[in-house]
Amino acid sequence: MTGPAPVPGRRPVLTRRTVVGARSFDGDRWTRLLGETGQDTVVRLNDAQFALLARSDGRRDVEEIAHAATRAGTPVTTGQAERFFDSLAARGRVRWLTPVEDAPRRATRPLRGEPASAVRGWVRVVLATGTGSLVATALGVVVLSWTGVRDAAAGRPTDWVATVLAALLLLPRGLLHELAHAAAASAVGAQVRGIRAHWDGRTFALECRTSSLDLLPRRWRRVVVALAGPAADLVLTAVVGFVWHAGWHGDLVAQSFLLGTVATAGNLLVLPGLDGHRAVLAALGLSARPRWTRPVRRPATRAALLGLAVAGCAAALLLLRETAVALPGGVPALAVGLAGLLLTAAGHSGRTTRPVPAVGTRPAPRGGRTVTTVEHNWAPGHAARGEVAVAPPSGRPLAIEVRDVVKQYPAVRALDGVSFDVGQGEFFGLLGPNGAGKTTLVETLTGLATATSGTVRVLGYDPARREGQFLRSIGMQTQTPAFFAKLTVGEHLSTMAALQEADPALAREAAERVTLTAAWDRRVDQLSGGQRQRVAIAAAVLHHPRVLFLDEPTAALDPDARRRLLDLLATLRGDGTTVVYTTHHLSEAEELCDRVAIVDEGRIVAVDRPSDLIAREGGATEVFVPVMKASLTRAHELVPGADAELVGERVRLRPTHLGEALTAIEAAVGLGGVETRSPRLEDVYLRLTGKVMDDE
Amino acid sequence: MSELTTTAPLTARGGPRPGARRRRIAALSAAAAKDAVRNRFALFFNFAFPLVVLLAFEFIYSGQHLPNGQPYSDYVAPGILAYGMANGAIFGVGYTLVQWRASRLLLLLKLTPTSRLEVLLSRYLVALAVSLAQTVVSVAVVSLPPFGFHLSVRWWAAVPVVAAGTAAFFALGCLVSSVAKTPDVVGGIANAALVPMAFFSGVFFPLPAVVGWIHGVSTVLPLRYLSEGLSATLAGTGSWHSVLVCTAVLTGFAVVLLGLAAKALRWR
Repeated sequence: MTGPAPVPGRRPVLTRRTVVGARSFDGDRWTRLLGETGQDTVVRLNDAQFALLARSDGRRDVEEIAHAATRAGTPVTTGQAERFFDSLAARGRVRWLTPVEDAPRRATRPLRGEPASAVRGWVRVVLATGTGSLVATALGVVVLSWTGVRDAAAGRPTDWVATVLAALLLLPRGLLHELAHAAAASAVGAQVRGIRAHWDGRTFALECRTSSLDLLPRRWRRVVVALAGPAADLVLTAVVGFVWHAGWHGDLVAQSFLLGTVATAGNLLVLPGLDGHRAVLAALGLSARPRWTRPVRRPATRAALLGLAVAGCAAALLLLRETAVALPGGVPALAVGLAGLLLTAAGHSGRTTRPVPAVGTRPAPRGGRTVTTVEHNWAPGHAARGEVAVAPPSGRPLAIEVRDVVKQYPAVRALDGVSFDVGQGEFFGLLGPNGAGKTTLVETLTGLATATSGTVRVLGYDPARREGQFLRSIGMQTQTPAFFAKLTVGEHLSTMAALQEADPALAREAAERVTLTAAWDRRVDQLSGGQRQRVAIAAAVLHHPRVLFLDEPTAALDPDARRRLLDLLATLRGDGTTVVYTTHHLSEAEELCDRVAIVDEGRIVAVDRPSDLIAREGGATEVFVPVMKASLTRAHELVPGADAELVGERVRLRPTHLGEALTAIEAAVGLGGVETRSPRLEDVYLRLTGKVMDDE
Repeated sequence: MSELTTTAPLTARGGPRPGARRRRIAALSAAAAKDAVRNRFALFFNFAFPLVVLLAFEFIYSGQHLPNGQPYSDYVAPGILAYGMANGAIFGVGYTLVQWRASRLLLLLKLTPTSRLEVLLSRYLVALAVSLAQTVVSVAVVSLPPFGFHLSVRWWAAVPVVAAGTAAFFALGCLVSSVAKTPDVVGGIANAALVPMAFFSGVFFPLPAVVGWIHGVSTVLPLRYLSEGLSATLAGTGSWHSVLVCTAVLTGFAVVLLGLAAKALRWR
């Protein structure tokens, strides 16, 4: 199996029978899959399936994935895409592809089936509706002042209160609207996937999502589904209009009627995101997102559209003011209605501007079942930048992958092109003095800080996105332990268990692991430093994370507490947890770590097993001979070729062959008072950085 | 090489557990509530201080009436309750958030799937419970014979007013917490904002009695609406329309300020 090798930092072009490296499909589900299994994987796909899989990168929505594949040249219907993903998910093989879960950067949640998500959706709906209404009202006031139409607004503040309330009433109306869409879709045989609150950080909308609408054999069915919502609006508006006509001229009723009329009529405009647009496309048999609407969906066009919208809103007010001012609160209602409508249209138009990754597949022959093989061979990490070896021992799947990471603060570059890998189950040490960049590095790995440039993957996730699955898979003990200070140990750990979505019983288990059960009912702020550190570690490990970050856990501990903590950490080595251990105690690193990285001034100067580093970089074993036994000159004579130096009352020798040197010294002056010192990690550190670790 | 051996689960425990969000909010609320109950300083400012001020006013103006014939005690009790509630909400949340940030607890929360909204919502629930408790305690005390506060039959309508008012001042507290660097500063900013607001909002004296421009200023201050809303519901002054307007305006303040606060909330 051959193909182009993956190029770090660039999205590779995939062809049939391509070797997929660890970082192909940069950053999302593929990487995660491969990173998770660490096994050789062959996936047999036809071209359409291959295109879908490629397009699933970073997306969560079957419809979007299908459209992306279609735009890229492989025509795939939403139904086909859904069946494909369903079949994979049903076999339990690709849970990572289940499109609705675990969305990066997107907040769409279904309103049914997932109560917690629905609540989240509702909270957002309520917040967004309220804020949107007030912003629209403020916009209306500005427009009114600008156009000189003041008489209706000024002096009638209650109109504006009524307008706000009427705008809030659009929320239940919007829900009825979407329910009508859902009922119509269901009646004509499409599959309804739920009503969702869509919020992308700028605009919000309620949406009824259907999955197989474009598979319906008759166009009119799609038209019916598109028009069902406006029809429900019309009925509702007519009812409100009747109540108003019947004699109750309350401001709220009048404004609801006006707002409803404007929104219903406006929704029938042929603008992307509005029902009029959908109905026309369905009637013409076009795709839901035809190519020609692409310019409308660009951000710059959106901005221009919004500008036009405001201008249009003002013009409409000027035209309508004679009629509107005669109605109670007419002008505010029109202002709010038009502004809201156009904001919605502008928001919708920008929703599908995600970049589409380039994939080199070509359309399959119609009906063809060409088999595409994607093969993954897990190889040790990619070539490192510079001469530093960064890969874990061969064959170990990766838990952490860091490439060329730079973190620039205004005054200082904390990380300067850091690259390394950590294998799953490894106990990995990060060594370096204070200010070397260790904590910044750990914060970047845990998502507490974002890299200025470079790539970070932990278990295949981008930490900066703070995805739920990622956060549940890591644990961290911070350098300065943080607590709910007035809570007891038990209360604190139970709270942390709930926050981590872990079983409540794990809190006590964690306390037992760090031998803190005796302090279970004591307040955290009454504990000693060592006990607090153990509480912090218990909180970090209680949910059994797959990757554990420990940032100088033994700092500021007395020797006894430190020893007990090291014993605890040693037990973590055995249970398969990947541990990233930051310290400036080199002896601890030597004792605990499978591999260590030495960090200095934001760079990694060496990565290897401690023993290999010492053997390679530590230099020769030193022999100390009391100067009373042998002077510097005599020592030179005894061990020719060795470096010799007077250090206090002793001569220090660095012989090439230790055994021969000791034999020669013993024969000449005896070994009494002679000492040897093997190289240690601090010698490596001194040699590589020119600095002395000050605490050992 | 085996074929499609991709059965390993994504994480040790799979996807989020059902109800996890609700449990997170409950756990955070419980933690914040215990924190509040075990903090004597907070207890004093939430309960004892407003009560002392209220009793002082009740004693001083006992038996006096406003020009419209309303007993002064009926007028001043809801106003001072509103002031205490606003104080508790701003200070409570501001202090907690700044302290959580200073002790890096917010960073610890950021390492869990907890969202900003959950942090704010859980803290709001605690603030709401404190406000309701303040209302019950204050009304119970001033209803005693020496003071003779007349509780209106529509007292139950105070609940949405309290909820909206607490939300508005809670949001203000969140905003204060994002500009204050230390817990001590929170008190300073809160007082600097709240004391003038109390004077301009007609908490201590009726708005019709003051000069016109103060009346104008009061229309943009949330404390005026909280005070009026409580007065309309607890003392029965004012119309249902006024209750509705006060609740709507307070909700508006809360929504806008909470939106700003959620954006401004810093983890560190």
